[in-house]
Amino acid sequence: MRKYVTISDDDEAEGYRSISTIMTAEGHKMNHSSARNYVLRAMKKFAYAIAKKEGVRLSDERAWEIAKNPMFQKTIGELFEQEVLKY
Amino acid sequence: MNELKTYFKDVGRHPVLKRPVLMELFKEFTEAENSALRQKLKQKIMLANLRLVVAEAKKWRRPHVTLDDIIQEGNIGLMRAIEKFDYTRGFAFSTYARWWIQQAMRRYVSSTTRVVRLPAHILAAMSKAHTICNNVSSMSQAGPSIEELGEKLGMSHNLARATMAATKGTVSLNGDIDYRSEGNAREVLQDRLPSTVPTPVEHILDGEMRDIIRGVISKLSSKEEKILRLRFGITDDPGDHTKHPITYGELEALKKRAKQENK
Repeated sequence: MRKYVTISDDDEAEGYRSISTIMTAEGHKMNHSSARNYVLRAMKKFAYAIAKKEGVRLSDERAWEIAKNPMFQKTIGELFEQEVLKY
Repeated sequence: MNELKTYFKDVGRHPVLKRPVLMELFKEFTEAENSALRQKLKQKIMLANLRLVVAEAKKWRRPHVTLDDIIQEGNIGLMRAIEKFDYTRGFAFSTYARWWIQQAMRRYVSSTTRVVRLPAHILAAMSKAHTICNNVSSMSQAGPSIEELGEKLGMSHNLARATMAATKGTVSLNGDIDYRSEGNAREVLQDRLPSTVPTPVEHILDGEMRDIIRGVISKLSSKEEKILRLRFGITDDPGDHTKHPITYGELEALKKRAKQENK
């Protein structure tokens, strides 16, 4: 599987711009910051779920902090890929 | 061993020269312009001082280096000493040559002791660090910090840290672990190192994490999942987004539809 969209800081903006362009073409009109918000909101959901499993209650602020963490995003990305590619 | 005995016999045949004679030879050697003559004089001085190398070599005996190798290195040091000796200063040649001989032997021993060769300046720094640590430890229980050590060695903290790390030796992964209490089972060091294969506990934890991820994915909207796919590059061709693999939500819908059709 080839990866075209990276999560490194350097081409982050470009990645979100590409996503917004593709999604707009599919009929979901959005700009790059909306695309970023979608990704971060999803990351936040993962953060909450993992914290819940560990018995930790996360504040909203802390959840955002975790969601924005590049290492967290990378890890979730790998797990997400493994799960999604099963189907 | 016989070769070494023969060598010692050979060395014994050449008499030690008295200081005035040796100085005269050095005078001739320095003033000689003919290279053949210089070579001849150098050989003469060399032969007269081979005993000095043997005497020094005995002090540098180590388990992993043979005596003849150390003598060989010492002879190279002696040759360098002959070339660099300044007889006009009035010092005895043996005093000067001993440093070059020792330097050659030290360099050889230190370069063969370690599996990974270290630069000479790091070895020198390690030796200094060792002395500093010993002095400080004798006064207090705790050794010097990396910062203190760096200041005393005149090097950056990072280099001091690297120097201290280099003082640690290497061990073979196939080396036996002394296993007195548990029978004759041969256990090597590698057996005690953490394995890359997950343990049953790690396997369960990994499984739990997958369950969490799966749970969150199933709750993501189709739009969110598609954005995540694009974000993590889970697609064959980002230009042709119609070929994206179907999302989890779409798959579930397909399964439901298939079930209904079967009914």
